[in-house]
Amino acid sequence: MQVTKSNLNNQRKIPGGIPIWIFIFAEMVEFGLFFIVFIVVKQYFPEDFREGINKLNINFAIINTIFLITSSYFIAQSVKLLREGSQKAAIKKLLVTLLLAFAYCISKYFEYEWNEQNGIGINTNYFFTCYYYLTFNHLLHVLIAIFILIISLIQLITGNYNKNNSNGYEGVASYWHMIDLVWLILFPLLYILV
Amino acid sequence: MNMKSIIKQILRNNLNRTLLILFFCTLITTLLGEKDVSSSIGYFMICAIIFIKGSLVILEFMELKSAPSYIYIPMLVYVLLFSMLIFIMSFF
Repeated sequence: MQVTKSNLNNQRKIPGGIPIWIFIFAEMVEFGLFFIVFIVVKQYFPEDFREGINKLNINFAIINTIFLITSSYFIAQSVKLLREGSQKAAIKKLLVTLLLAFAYCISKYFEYEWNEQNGIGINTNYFFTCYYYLTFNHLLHVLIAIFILIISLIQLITGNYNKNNSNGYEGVASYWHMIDLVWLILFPLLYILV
Repeated sequence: MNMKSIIKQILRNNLNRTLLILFFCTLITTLLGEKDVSSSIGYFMICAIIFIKGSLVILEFMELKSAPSYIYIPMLVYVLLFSMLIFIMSFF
């Protein structure tokens, strides 16, 4: 039998199912528009952006990147373990993911506080208006995802997510990875590229 | 079990390998950030790293390498598009 491209696509599995990917694409379009706005504003006010990027504390950004990458790694492992039937190990990995997600939020709080102590606010210049809009929006998505992760944890503990029913959990993990992916673009855009 | 076999075992796992590459890429980005990245080469390297990191998250963490092409291609195009856009805008 000849294997056509559409046959191959039908055989392949979509992690989490189609609906979550429609949601993820919608979220990515939203962030994509923010990125375009950021790049356009940068063209109009290059001095604000050069000065703004140099004022930020890059250490917070590095720590946050490590938190998000590592949390993505742990939730990917958790999904894998759930599929293999190791429910308890999957729960442990999800707990580490949650811990790192909270650590990200705490780090963000300290970053904003550091900014405030150094006289940086949303109205400082055009760069900081964009910076606060983008990072706060990202933080909101992290908070929503944390809420979803907590619900997933309950589902895992009660056994609703298990070896034979992991589709919903795969969707949650994909959403968390999307948040990580957006940060991977935000990190150099806001903190590195002068 | 010696150190070499431990490292071998760690690297055998796709997710471990991905995590290590992502850490390494973050380190390179940070080191580039310490220097002046306003040159085209600096911009190109950072944008290439964005694409590498994004692709790894999409293919390995999201497990889209085993998903239909209509899911993973738009995702990869998204990351490629924005890394290219950032690079192109560095000329203006």
